Amino acid sequence: MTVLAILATLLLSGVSDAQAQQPFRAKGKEFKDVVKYIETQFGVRKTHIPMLGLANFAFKLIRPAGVKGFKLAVFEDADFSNHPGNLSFNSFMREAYRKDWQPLVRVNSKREGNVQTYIYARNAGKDVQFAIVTFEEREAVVMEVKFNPDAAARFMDNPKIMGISIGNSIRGGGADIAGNNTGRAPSRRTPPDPSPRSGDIDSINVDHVGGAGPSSAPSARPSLNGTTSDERHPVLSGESNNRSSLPEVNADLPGSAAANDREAIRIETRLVNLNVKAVDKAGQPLKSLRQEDFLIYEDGVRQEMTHFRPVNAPVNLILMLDLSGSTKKSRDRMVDAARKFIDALPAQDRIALVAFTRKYRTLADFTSNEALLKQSIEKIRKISGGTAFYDSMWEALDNLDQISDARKAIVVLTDGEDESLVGSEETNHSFDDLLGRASEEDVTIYPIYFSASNHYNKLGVLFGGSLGVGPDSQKRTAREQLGLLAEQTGGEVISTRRQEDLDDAYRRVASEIHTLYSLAYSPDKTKHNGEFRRISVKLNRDGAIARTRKGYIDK
Amino acid sequence: MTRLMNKAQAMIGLAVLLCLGSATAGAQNARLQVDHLDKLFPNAVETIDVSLEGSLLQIASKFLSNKPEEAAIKELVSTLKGVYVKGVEFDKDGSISESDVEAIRTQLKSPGWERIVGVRSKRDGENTEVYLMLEGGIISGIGVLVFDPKQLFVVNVVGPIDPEKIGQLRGHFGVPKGLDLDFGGTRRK
Repeated sequence: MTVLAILATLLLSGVSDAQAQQPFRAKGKEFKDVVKYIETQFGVRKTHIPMLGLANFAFKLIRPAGVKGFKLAVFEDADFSNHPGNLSFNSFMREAYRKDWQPLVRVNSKREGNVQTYIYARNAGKDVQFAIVTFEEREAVVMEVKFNPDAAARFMDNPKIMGISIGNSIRGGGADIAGNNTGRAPSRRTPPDPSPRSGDIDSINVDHVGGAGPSSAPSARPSLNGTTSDERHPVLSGESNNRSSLPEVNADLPGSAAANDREAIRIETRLVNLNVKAVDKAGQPLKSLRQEDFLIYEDGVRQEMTHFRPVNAPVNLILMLDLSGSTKKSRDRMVDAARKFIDALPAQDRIALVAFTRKYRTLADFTSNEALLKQSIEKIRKISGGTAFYDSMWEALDNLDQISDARKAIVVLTDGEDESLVGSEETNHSFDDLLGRASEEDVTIYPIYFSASNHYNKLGVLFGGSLGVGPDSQKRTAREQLGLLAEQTGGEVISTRRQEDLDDAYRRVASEIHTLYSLAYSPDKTKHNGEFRRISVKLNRDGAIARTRKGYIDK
Repeated sequence: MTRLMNKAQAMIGLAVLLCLGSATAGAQNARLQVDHLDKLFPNAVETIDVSLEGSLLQIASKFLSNKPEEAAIKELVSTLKGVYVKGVEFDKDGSISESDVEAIRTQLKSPGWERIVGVRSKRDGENTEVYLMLEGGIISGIGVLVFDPKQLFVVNVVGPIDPEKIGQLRGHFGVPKGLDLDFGGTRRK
């Protein structure tokens, strides 16, 4: 070994100046060399990945998709933007991957935060080995994978693991195994359940007095000025003038002595919340409409509006930032864009700042204090992790449920790729759960879809990007889910691929938020039969158009 | 990066699909030497360097489906010896020097190579040149050179080529519909 080491040193002595400056020299040990290089050069230790050894063993045993084994090292939370550079690291890679290895791909993009990808490959009998090394601003990944190409090709034709089919052919970009293989991740094709949650049903006890029997009860609308026992879902204390026209109801809260002592009739009313955008013939927002300008219809029957909020009503807004690894390289730009977004909102709007990975972190609670918000946003530089998108959105809706006296919105910067889409993590709430709930809340959701390139899919360069597997498939699903969330809540998805476009995306959202009216009504009849109730909103202005969600399921 | 990738994919598609055909010997001379472009990498905002050759090229073909479009690539790849792409893109004009381009052109002017397409856009200053390596009347390599003041891309496909199939490729995989690919003689466009 010593002789070999000396020979190797001699062989390497004639390399370029750039190489000569490197304090760490490759020893032809491939994966180990690169890991050591990163640890030495950047003073960082590889991230511990639970169960990695077991997973590797399972791969060797089961050989899913022809994969016979892999090595993986992930380095996080270090500044990889200052690594020695494309040329010198490429030279290092050539030294580390000498015997039989061929350099296949070397890609560098400084536009996206100095992202670098190196792919080497070699034949190993009937198998092939790929070595992939990527650097992003704050993350580096070293991976080697060995697989049988024939088995992998068969897997693509007929995806099976241990004899269990996990979908149709995944060649040609047509199929979507991401939607089929998780079991937990709901398919986006499954119709959402936009039926109201229990929190949207106001229950009160009404005294059975003075001949007001059950037959008259439906006409007795409850006052919406109180609170329910369920504080997580307080009723709206709206500004509607209609409240005064409602029949007077002598209500006792559940559990009170009066309620217990007398026979009670339970009346349920449902509030249907609508976020409505009104535009003129030219598509320009109409911002000065009044309550009487709106006419609400459910299945063609005029409904009585119970709540109205104009476009300039203050908004309680949660600004959510996806801090998964995929957004790491964009942190500086995210901080800058979020600051500008805070500036762009009216002073009376209250903003809560939330960062989410697998955890939901409130960095700043609802406040109009811009300085505090801007200070809090700096915290995101140190946060990184996975993406529990559905659960985080659910928690944000919980937070907004605490607020009863303002319009509400969620602005979420994300690639939308919940980890359940790749089956790597369980979720407490499925996408269908989330969509169903969001459909009934009076919260407008504005996803800013921010999806930069994904280094794990660089092999697409070799195959023309024609394979419908992996990240591309998940991205499509994620993008569609974001679209559904926006559509059902009166919001809008704004897509951006480049960090440079984030400012503009936020600016559009800030402008859009204050073009919506918030309305609510209690349907004159509810059957709870699971039928779809069609909603339309009309304006009594010539040529004016109101846009809102199409309806809900009466469940 | 996406733009670069798309461009690279399109160019690979262009070059690879131009190379449908039967096997022949002596194709190694069609390999262009473009290592001098590496010196441009450190200052470029985007770079790409792809070398796919030999058995790994065959392995890559296994992941293509039998759909007509991909089947054509699959058939092509089965006879190719290598596909090479190297490209750099800068933020500022003037980053690509004439000498960088000439170093490649010099090779493409050597015996065996014929220029068949030369397109120059006055609007954006982009130049596209396509060269064929001819050996005994059979095409054994293709060189595609695309450059403007900000970028330079070289695609080099080494392997036997069936010229009769090339015409079918117009309008697919980045091959312009209007590209005149009559390889019966040397034409300039």
